[in-house]
Amino acid sequence: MKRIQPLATTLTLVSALSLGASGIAHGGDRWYVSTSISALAATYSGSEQRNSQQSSSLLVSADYLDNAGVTLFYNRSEIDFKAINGVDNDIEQNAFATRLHYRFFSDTLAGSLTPQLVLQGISNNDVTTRSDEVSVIAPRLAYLSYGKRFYVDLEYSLSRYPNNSDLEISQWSAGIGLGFNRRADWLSLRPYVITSSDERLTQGESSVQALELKWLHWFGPDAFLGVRQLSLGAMAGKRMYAVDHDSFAVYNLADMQEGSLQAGLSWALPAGMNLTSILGSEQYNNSAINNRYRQNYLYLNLSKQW
Amino acid sequence: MRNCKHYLGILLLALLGNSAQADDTVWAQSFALQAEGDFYQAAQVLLQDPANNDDEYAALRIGYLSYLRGNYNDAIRFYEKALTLNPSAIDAQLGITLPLMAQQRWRQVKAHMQQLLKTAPWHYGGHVKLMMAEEALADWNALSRHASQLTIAYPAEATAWVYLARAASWQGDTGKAKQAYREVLKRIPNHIEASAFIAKNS
Repeated sequence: MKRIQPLATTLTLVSALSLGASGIAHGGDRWYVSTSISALAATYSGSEQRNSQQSSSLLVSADYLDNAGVTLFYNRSEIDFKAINGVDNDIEQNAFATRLHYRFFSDTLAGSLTPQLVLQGISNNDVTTRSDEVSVIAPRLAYLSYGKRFYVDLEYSLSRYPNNSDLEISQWSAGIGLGFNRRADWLSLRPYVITSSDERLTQGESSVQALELKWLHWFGPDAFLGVRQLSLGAMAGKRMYAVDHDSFAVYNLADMQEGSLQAGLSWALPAGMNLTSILGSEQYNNSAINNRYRQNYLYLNLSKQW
Repeated sequence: MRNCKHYLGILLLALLGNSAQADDTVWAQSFALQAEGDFYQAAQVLLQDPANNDDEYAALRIGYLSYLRGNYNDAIRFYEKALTLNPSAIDAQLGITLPLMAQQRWRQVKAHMQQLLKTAPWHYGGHVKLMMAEEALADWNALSRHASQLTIAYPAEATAWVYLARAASWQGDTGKAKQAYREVLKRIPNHIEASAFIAKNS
């Protein structure tokens, strides 16, 4: 992004005016590029199969003014499995994703309509191959009021698992968001309905439902320790092979997710950077071996708008 | 033949006279309808006159009337038409920010104001709108630098000091923010925001 050049405070008006053409009058900025790197460290509590997970991601996003944008995402994950009968089947996984969106502004609806398409691909060294070569396609249509006080979207995701007897997972979700307290707070709800093409491959479940709730609060400039944002989230119900296209997360391992809690803080750093940290815990169930366990994680994200 | 030319000349003059009279009526009608709050008809009378198809001022008027009606996309379209007819027009660059701000399209507001400032580097209104966009985009570094420059160019104006204080506050520089708010209070002694900040941080 082009920036206005600083002027020394001792400059006279005349000299300031003479520098005006080069100092202030830039051509219009059109492209807004942001990048972020993130890391996740997780441990599994009560799991008979898993020890820990490490994950790192790179995201590059480019928006053309307020109208359109493209995002590219890469994630590398490693899951440390417990050795069973002397066999250690750790998984190393690469995930790629791209997101395209375009915003239409509708005066009739007093807001913007944003069609969005997310494509994801996953490859890993899963010895069973069942979670390998996964692909996801997810269109979404979102509405956001001009005042940014009301949001609604409808999203469909189709996940294909060609090495798992051609399992197909259909996920419908609808996001509803409300801004209040002079837009310092944002409350969002996201119900999920997830169906399986073969319930024998999804722990006997042909359809599961879940509800996700998230609250965001933005602090003013004088907040304690410079915190900019607080987030609290919870999920209740069941999700299987779920996908989250805001975070580009694909839950491609078979265990059923049965709830989650998370809390996060964000800080604004110098040079236009932002740091976000999230502590979370997710409950899973592997009914095949009757094992309920938790994944407890710390997620860190450092982002910068260029 | 001479008589024929004479009559043709009279007819042409009469037509031109009627045309000028009709144009005046159209503009007068438009302003009268606007005064009555009928922004739709105020635009329609201009649109229905073919003479206004490529008229820059008609495009500006219809753009503004569309904005008043809440038809922001139409307003943007007519302001863009005015800019096509006259790319150097400061009026159109300023005008188009009205519907863009209503739609919260701050990046486009910023782009238009940067374009305007290429034509008129120290246009005060352009700078104020650019600062509004920088604030809406939470670009505190840019806003701080920009407002600082503007306090030099327009030392009597309080607005740049307010934006400088807000940027400093968001950057965590309370001392600089207080100093800027004190400058605001010199210019507007009962300024609510500045008074509240000084009181809170004394």
